[in-house]
Amino acid sequence: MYKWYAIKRILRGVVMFALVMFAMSVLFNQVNEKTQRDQILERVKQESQGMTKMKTDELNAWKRERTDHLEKLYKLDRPMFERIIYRAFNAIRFDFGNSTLSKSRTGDKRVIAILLEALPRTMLLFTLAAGIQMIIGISLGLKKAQKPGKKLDRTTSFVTMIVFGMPSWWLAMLLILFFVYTIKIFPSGGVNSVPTPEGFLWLLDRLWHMALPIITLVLLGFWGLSFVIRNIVLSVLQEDYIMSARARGVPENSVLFGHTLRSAAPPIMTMVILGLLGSMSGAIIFEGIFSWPGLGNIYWIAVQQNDIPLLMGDLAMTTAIYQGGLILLDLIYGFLDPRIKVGGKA
Amino acid sequence: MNLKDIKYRLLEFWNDFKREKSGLIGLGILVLCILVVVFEPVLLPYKATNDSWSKMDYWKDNSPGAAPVWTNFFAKKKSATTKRLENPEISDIENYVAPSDFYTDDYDYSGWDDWDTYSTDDSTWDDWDTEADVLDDADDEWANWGAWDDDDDWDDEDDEWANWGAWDDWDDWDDDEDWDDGWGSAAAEIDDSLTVYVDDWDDDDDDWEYVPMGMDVRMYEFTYNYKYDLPPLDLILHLNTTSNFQGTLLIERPDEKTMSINIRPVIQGRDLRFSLEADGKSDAFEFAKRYASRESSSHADPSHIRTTSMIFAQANEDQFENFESLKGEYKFKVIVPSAIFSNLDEDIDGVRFILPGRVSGLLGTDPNKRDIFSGVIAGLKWALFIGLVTSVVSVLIGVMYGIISAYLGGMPDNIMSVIFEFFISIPLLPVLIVLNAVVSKPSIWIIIGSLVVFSWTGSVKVVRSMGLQIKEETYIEAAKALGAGNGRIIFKHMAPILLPYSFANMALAVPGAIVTEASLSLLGLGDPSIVTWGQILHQAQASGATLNGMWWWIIPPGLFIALMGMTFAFVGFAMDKILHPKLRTR
Repeated sequence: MYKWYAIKRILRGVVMFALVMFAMSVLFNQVNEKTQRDQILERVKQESQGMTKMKTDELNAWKRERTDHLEKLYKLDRPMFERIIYRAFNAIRFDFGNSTLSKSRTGDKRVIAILLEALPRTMLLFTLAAGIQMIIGISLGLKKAQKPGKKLDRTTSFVTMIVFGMPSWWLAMLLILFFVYTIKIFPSGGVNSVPTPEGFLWLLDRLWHMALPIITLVLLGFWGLSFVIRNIVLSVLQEDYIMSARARGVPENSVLFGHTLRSAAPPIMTMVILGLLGSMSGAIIFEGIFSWPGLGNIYWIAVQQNDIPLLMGDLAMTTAIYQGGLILLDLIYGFLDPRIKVGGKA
Repeated sequence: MNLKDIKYRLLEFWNDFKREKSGLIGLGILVLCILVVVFEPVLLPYKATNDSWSKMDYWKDNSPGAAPVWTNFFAKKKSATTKRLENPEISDIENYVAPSDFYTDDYDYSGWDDWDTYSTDDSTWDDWDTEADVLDDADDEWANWGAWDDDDDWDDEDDEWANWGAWDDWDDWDDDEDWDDGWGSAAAEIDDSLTVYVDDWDDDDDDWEYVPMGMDVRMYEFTYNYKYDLPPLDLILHLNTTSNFQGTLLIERPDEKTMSINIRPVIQGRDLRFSLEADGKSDAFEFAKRYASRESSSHADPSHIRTTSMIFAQANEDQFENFESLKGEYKFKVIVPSAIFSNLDEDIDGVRFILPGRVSGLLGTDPNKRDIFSGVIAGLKWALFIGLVTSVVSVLIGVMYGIISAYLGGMPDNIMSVIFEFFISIPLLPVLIVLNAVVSKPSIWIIIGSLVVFSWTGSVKVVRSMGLQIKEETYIEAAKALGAGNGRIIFKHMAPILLPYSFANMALAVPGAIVTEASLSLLGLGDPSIVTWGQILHQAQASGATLNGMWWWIIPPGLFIALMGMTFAFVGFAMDKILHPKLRTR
């Protein structure tokens, strides 16, 4: 039963991804093409500078020929509809060609290589932060639900509302100002020190660099989660089966974790994963401030340098991750909610 | 729904709302913000901030990168604050000669014994070549003047130098071979009316006599009480003039020494601005050199010393290395030849001084001399505007979408769900960035539009599920049986129930909109013609404010963004508690 649900969901996700990529292709087609045409002209000009032996009209003829050839190669001379389909198809296959300006650490110019190198760094940072947020959020939320309306509950709710509208990058700037320049304990950015240490020290170095970004993310992130958990747990604790479990003598911990959290798990997972996706979407600025070489940073660099292949590639990858996250969310939801597991509706 | 119903509902809501303390706090702050926006013209210290944020000209009399004034309270060394001096004492003086260093008694004339040694001591006299200028005793004639025209001969009969050219006033060969009569205050006397008399050869009497030397001037006098440890950054003179202006600025210091600075205006015209830091440095340096030790002066590089550090320093030997503040009352005198006023067309008025302080403004300034407090106040209305418009429009669209989707059911519902999923799958910020990067000049409306297009999905799910519930109610069925059209049912029956909830959602969506717009501006993709907090932060980031420790540039704009978010969170959560439809049964 669940299998069918899973497969259907994944298929839907893939179709949706293709649709979104198609739409983006259409939207940014003009931009892409203009840049591609400019790039072709640049290339032809550079190549023609090496040709010193030709006369002027020969040179012009050769240039025109080259331009036509390259345009044919990039399919720029076909009717618009065909061009869009071609580009969308490439986008779905994650084939974006070579980046104009960037190279990966290994010197590979292909967009996909650059992106794949940056992806683990982004995932590492945000999933780690999300994990810590989840742990702190759940424990705090449970504590709040146990004594609703008392001091802990009220003060934490108050703080939740204070940090509700706080941009993560501003807190980042503040913490950098304080912890990097006033009291110098953390590095100002980057993922490694230069020169990079080896072995165990490499791990420590990584952790040291990750510390401030993760602290920033966690400081802002667990409040909302704890608030929601508190509400859900409170409403579940009023259910009859909880009362009967307590009456049966089930230990309190077991009541909390085994029964309550089990029921509350789907909304919690929703919040955690949506929060993770949201923070990754906002990673562009966040990574920029910490000079963290992840997907967001690459996106920003690509926009600044007008590196269209890299930009579209990053956009595609971000959309894919986003879509993947949503699919994952639905799958986990389906797994945790027994009603969906057996094929019914929630 | 008629007016009475609405009023009743509002009253009921308000009674519930009053009980939420956090909601009241949020509402209070909101009212405060609206008041600030309304009274903005009064509150702005720099009135034309809104239009002139990017025009550096408007800010040119301010201090760059100055900390807020209240930091002075905590600092050990008090910095001068910005001061404006206006309404000078105007007086007309006749036969005025500016006191210069020659007229001060403590000038050391020991080097003046003869011409030859003078040129080695004082470098300003270096076109007096030691070898070339030889006093020919026999003829009482100066030979080899170099720059001196050969026609300048000592006329033995008249004991008079003819053809001095530029040296008209130096009519001073004294027969006794003693030059001290004409060159210094030894010969000149200053009486109380600041009129100076110098020796002048009187043809009639064949004798030296005292003659008033000087011209009629008008003097504008300002008094400045300087009591700080660190001087202001500059001294800027402003005046309105129609004439070609020339004049002198005299600074009388508390230690009885006077500094004289020639006012050489850079541009002639209506509003004259003379900055001592820019154009008065050499004169100030000349003054300072007289009192500093020889070593100090030779090592000192005037281009690295602030003019005001020389004006307001104690005239110690080591004043270039160790600045010590000379506190007390300073008099600034602007002296203008009265000849200017004799011509009816020409006039000078509005003479005023601005001393940009080392600390300035309630929230400091940025390196481009813009007052950050003004920027923050000006940005408040944009933040409110963008946040409210975006959230209201996007929540309305979302709610209507949800209701219609729920009501229509069946195939339209499925199609709308697919469209909804499509929009949800688009990551917000990346797409916004590309959109705004493509449009070369993003205006505020394009930004709001793109924000709305990608964030209307927020409330759809809840509204749709609620709509599905309401659809099954009996009164809907009754309305349909009576022949009510779809529109009527949606707007008259379903919407009014969900609208209050949508208000709560609107309040909660505002912080997100403000932050997203601030993010866009931070990346430089915002509307450049308006001042928003995100833009201020963008400039801060671009100028490396974190690196330079300018906390007053980074903290206020972001703090206000967070404050706005907090305010709407308070209000929104309070409203949500009261209006959430799931709690209808309460």
